Amino acid sequence: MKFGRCLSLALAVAALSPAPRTRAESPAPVLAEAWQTLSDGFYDDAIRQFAAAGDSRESRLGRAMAQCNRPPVTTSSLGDAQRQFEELAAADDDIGHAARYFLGRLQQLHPMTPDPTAAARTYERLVATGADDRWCRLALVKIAVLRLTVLPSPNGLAAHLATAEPLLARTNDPVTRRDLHLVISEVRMHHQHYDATTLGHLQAALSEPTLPADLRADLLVQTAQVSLQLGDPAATRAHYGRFLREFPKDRRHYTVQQALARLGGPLPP
Amino acid sequence: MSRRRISTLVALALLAAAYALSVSHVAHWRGTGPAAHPPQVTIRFAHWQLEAGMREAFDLVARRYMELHPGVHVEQFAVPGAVYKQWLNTQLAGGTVPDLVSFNSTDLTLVAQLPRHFEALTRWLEEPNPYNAGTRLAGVPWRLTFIDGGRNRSTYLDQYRNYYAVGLCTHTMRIFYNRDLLRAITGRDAPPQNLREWLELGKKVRAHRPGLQAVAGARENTLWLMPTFVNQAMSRWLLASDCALRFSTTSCDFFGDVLLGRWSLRSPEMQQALRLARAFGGEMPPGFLQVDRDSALQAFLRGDAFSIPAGTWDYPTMRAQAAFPIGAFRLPMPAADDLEFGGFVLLPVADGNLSTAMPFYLAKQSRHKAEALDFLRFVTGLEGNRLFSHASHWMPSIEGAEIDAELEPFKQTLGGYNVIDVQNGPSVLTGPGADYTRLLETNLHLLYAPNGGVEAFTRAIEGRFRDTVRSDLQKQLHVQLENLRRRDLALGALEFLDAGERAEAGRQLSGQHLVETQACLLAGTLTDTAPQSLP
Repeated sequence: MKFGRCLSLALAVAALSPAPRTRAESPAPVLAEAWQTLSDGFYDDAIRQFAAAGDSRESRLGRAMAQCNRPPVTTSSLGDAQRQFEELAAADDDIGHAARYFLGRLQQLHPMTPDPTAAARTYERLVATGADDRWCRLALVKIAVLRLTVLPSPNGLAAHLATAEPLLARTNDPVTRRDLHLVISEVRMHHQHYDATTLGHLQAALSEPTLPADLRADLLVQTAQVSLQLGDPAATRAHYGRFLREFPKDRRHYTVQQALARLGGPLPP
Repeated sequence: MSRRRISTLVALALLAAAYALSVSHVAHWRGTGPAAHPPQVTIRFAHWQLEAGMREAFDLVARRYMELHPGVHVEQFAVPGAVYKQWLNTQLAGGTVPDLVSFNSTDLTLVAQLPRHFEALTRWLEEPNPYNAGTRLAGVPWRLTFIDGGRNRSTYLDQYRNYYAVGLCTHTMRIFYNRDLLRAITGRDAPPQNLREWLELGKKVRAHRPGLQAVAGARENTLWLMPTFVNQAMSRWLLASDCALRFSTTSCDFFGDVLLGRWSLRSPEMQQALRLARAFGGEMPPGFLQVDRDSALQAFLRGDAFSIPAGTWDYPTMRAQAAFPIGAFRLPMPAADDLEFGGFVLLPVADGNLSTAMPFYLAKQSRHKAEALDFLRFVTGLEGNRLFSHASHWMPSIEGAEIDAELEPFKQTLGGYNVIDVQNGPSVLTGPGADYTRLLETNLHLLYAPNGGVEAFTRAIEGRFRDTVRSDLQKQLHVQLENLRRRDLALGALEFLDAGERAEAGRQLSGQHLVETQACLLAGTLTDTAPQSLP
């Protein structure tokens, strides 16, 4: 019996002694961790962390976003996410606007049969709040993408391509305007509209100072080539020259050198 | 005191002493911390390069690094390629992945997994590599010290506009040849300079000795090399699909043009591409499509074949086993004035895709990210990269890293035309996806059969060609949309984190808008050209 008492005492001492911190003692997951987990693409874990972080509107938004991609994605699971977005979207604040934006994304990208028209309407309603916040700005670019590529336009290609131009007047944010110019020029180039309007969009996008380097490299080459087609070899030389100076390791370096040496002619040999 | 009581007390005393010792040990560590007793950090890296000398080369570099950093221990895991993917997935799932991992990320379906498991390296790549201090690369952003600017389809993901890996070496495809045989056959040491000279040499080789093969062809080697050869010989045609005028044609541009009726299997350009493929394969022995790579290599090493097409990764094995001096030359392009084959070539053509190889990724699970990143910087600094190249007989990835004289023939031609997209460039022979590749490969024997040829091959596949292109583009679109859905949520989540993450989201969003636009344009092309929409 005495041995038993000694053993109990030893175990009690051990239990009360300081021990390395274990997972169980870790602080409860906070929202930032949950957002980080979602950004890493671990949807199940993110939902658990959002749930553990409380029932705030931000937490509910995070859960709804994760729900969009949490496997298995079914009509029912997307329906749940949609209901959560719709509830949150009732308020006219940052979370409400985010919910409206992701509701549009859900309608556009996630179902087996996407509904771009509904998505465009959702984006339009968000932009109509006039908030010009980050979600409204993103929605504006998505409207441009849908109008230029997916939504029907009965009045021919030229009218179709013009449908995104008025969106530029709906924001003063230079980065959003740049992104609109990028999207518009991309679609015009796809349809081989190498005209002054396209050149204007390329130049506007290129002039925005925070443009990521890889996009800038592409835009310099595109602006040079469209300028040449419009009979402005001086602008072509200038843009090719900037490309060669700024992007010496780009795989197109030699090609651009040759194009610059033979302005207007076919690439040699 | 009974013996039993004494034993009990001794046992308890031992238990108490052991407990006191462990408490004191823990207290000591907590009190003094790592400064007084620096812990030995172990970083681990994994790869599947089991070629001759590779593990020794990695060991050499690791030893040099450990000399410079005595507190760090570096271990390599060399895992056979046949089980590498399964092994890696198991490690990722189990949370036991090594700090640095090499793997092939060119599979579009794997791209979505990258940001989940591996760190974006962009911010560090914009800073100079400290291991280049005092060299001519001092102060140069790490990214720009690589021969390809650090950007290729394994290291940079267009979809995420981020760098995820750095390459340790470069590889090119070459035709390796027996230098003794070349001298005996031609009386010269100079290898052929263009396609016509190569075809002429092939005739001489076959006439030199009964049974001597001009090229030790094998299914794998041919299927690796021939698409590059045909692409390069047809680059002017590929460039014609660059409607966005970037000097960078994508697979969607090029094969989308099939759906838009801009070219077909019967177009003169495609027929020329097939003639080139037939001429190339015609240099191989009959039945080469049934021969495996090792058998072809053995034929070359035995002296039964004059040459063999292979990647430079095979060179260490060849030099270790061949009893004759080995030379190498680039894929012979048609001359511009070659009336039969030269119409669409742009010369000089860049060497392959000017890409670095053997990309290493930094695992998010790593407990020693700073040390692992530092090791990556060392092995891609001028000293570390030269050391690795010298020991492995592989070409370095860093511009200006010295190479051994025997590697000179493998030096990439940096000046030359390269007109296809680095991420999603088209391949005339392998197409926009697996269905196209299968369609062409399963009928390839018709191209080389004695009673076959370009027309027989064309007839066999033309009924399925357009539908196959459509089906592969639909699958490409499916993958693009899947990646968009994932990335959309990831970037949205970053908007709720700190200012640095929000800035990162902002930086990537412009690219995402473009990727989405291009996916929608592809969807539009597929819809507009669907069989039911045609009049």
